[in-house]
Amino acid sequence: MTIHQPPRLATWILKRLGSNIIEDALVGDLFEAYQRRKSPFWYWKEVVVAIGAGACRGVWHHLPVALGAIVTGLFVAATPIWLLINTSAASLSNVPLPVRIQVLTAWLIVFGSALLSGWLVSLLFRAHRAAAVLSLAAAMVVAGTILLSATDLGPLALAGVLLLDALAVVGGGSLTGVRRRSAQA
Amino acid sequence: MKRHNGSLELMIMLAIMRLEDAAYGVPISREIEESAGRAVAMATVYASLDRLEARGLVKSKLGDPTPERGGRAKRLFTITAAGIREVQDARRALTQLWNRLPQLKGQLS
Repeated sequence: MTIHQPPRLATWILKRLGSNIIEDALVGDLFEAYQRRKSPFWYWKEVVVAIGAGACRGVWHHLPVALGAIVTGLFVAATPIWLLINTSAASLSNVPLPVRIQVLTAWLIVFGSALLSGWLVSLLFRAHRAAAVLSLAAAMVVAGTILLSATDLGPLALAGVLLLDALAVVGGGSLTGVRRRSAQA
Repeated sequence: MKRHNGSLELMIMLAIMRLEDAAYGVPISREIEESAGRAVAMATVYASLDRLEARGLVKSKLGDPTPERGGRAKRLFTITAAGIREVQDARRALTQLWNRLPQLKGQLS
């Protein structure tokens, strides 16, 4: 019998953003069902629903965790940007660097801090990782919309920046190790 | 106060009873899809199963890992005595409600 491998990235994200309902049995069921359907789109949809459902349940049952993750994550993400604007580092902007380098540096700082905040929140709130990381990603999107709506970014560019920011948070949150749930006998 | 089951939870319990020893995520989800004519996300089935297990209406155990599941074990479900009572109560309540609708009388098979 030929075994068809479902999208590895989707499985990797599912295992790392695991919640109470996401465990080996569900990953195995999706793997088995994929042998019949063989549709990567179906598999990705199932993974997104699984992570979303798990996160919603997590937020509902552990609201303080979600709030703690949002406060911690926003603080971690905003600190490097605040330092860059308000400290001696700001004088670096007077250094005659090509615009391309300046833009790249700004992007690295923004998305790097988002990645760092996702990773830290995932580490601090390991027991409810999906709820914590996805709450932070949603809060980053809201905060980003408020902050960037005053700039002259077009709607498409704004959506792109917010999406990349949210993905950086989720990516950072996925970097910590897999949480194992004790097997039920 | 006694909590009522949603239609999905009731369908899941009926699927478990029908599947007997082979009740795990994939066949349960397939049973629902074939009977109700709509696909249900596997995570939704698991969320309902977790709720049913927390209420003592179903219980689960881990089966053996198999290659077609990428070496992962099945989580096999069985219905408990409380679960069977719950299904019977739901059937009784639905039948009574159904029979009180004159326009639908005689349509219950």
